[in-house]
Amino acid sequence: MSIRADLGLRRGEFVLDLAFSAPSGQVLALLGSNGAGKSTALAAMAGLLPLARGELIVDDRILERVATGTRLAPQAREVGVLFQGLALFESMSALDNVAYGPRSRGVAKLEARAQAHAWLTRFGVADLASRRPSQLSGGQAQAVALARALIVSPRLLLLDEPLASLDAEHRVEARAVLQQTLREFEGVSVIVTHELGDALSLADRVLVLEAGKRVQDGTPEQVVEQPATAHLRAMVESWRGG
Amino acid sequence: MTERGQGVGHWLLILLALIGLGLFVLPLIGLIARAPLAELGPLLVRDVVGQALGLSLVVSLAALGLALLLGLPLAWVLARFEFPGRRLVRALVTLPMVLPPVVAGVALLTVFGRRGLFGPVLSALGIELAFTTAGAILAATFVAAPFLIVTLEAAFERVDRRLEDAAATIGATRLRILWTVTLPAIRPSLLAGLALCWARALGEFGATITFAGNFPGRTQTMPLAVYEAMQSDPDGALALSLVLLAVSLALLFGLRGQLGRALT
Repeated sequence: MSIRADLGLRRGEFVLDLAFSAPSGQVLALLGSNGAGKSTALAAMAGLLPLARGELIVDDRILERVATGTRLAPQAREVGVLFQGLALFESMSALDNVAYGPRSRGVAKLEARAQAHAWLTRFGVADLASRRPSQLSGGQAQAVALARALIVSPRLLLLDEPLASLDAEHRVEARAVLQQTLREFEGVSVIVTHELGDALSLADRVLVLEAGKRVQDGTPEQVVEQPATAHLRAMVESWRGG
Repeated sequence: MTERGQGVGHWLLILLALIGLGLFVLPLIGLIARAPLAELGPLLVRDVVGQALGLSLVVSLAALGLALLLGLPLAWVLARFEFPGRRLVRALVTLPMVLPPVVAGVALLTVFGRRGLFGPVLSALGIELAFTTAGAILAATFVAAPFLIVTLEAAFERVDRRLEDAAATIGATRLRILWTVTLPAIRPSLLAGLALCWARALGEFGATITFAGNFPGRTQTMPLAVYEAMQSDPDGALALSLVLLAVSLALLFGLRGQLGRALT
């Protein structure tokens, strides 16, 4: 199990041109400032934005290849996404949010709910199953959103700024839940973040993006010890200062 | 006083505001004061009234259904797709809101009337629209659907697209996303749009009388019955008006703040 990505696309003035591959089990951070193209890269991998050039292959399965006109819809990609702000469905209970994936794939209601309950139990939030998303704390809501993404057995897990919207108090708890989840996930995980601290605490490997291009690819230690650009050096210094 | 500046103009504005208020409130008071409240019961159970009431319900609800069936997809396309001529399409779809209803009726006749553009085709298929209940429904839909479309389009534009993206990535299809995620997320706007559309369809007069005529039991809806009763039976007209007023007030009360929120 692995990922091979060569992502090329253009949105107005902005050009994304990013290639990487990773073995299964690896947690990869895409680190960059606003406008560096990390969220665009994530949307492209999820199938929400079409590539103009390149391909995306997960576990030898071609999700998209521009040269042959191959392009799977988001529904068919087996990609789990933790959206920025979580994007939980407010009209449903936490349980039905998680059951939504299996239900959409034709699993009967009772069975889908049983599966969802098992996932909520795994994240320690089964007692909150009947709550609406707005009645959950940041960390609890994140657990529900993770369960919703993981219940459909994705082969690739994409996380968009997973800790950005949380206050300091819930961050610690949410970070621990994330670390545990990422450790147990068998496929490749890609975390998009603008916070160096999040990349360092969650990822095995950091890809630094600037203006749609990769400027550094290394372990968290390498990025901190030998930042490749002035911009990244400034980021490291402000992180050390903070 | 939080307003800056004083002078004669200040009081003039307040006076004009009070006159404006009177203009809107006095007719309502008149209607209620003059209505034969004691005989309301017997007046409302007469055949003509019952017929008009029943027909109005059928026509306005059918128009509401038709507006939803066709207007929701139209609003969705307008909100979600960039295509050449989108502004023109939007203008055309909202035109009935500003078009004199009688002109709408004439326009419908030129297309669906017996001698209209599609008249011969419809006749050959055995379909009569002009001067039938179906025609009254079509007329009401034509003038009322834009209220739903405009409200829904704004709501579709505002909804958080990440909710739909999230549903798509875990396996939901287009229609399932619309039904289970998008519509619940815009529920207040949907309800406000439906209420506006229904109210407009219920009150429809000009397009209906022009395109569908004024036949009791077939096309004579409440507003048409009120108009006819005014000639011969003013008490009946007042009673019918009172019923329509009550429905309008109930709608307004039911929606409370939602109407304003959905329209801005």
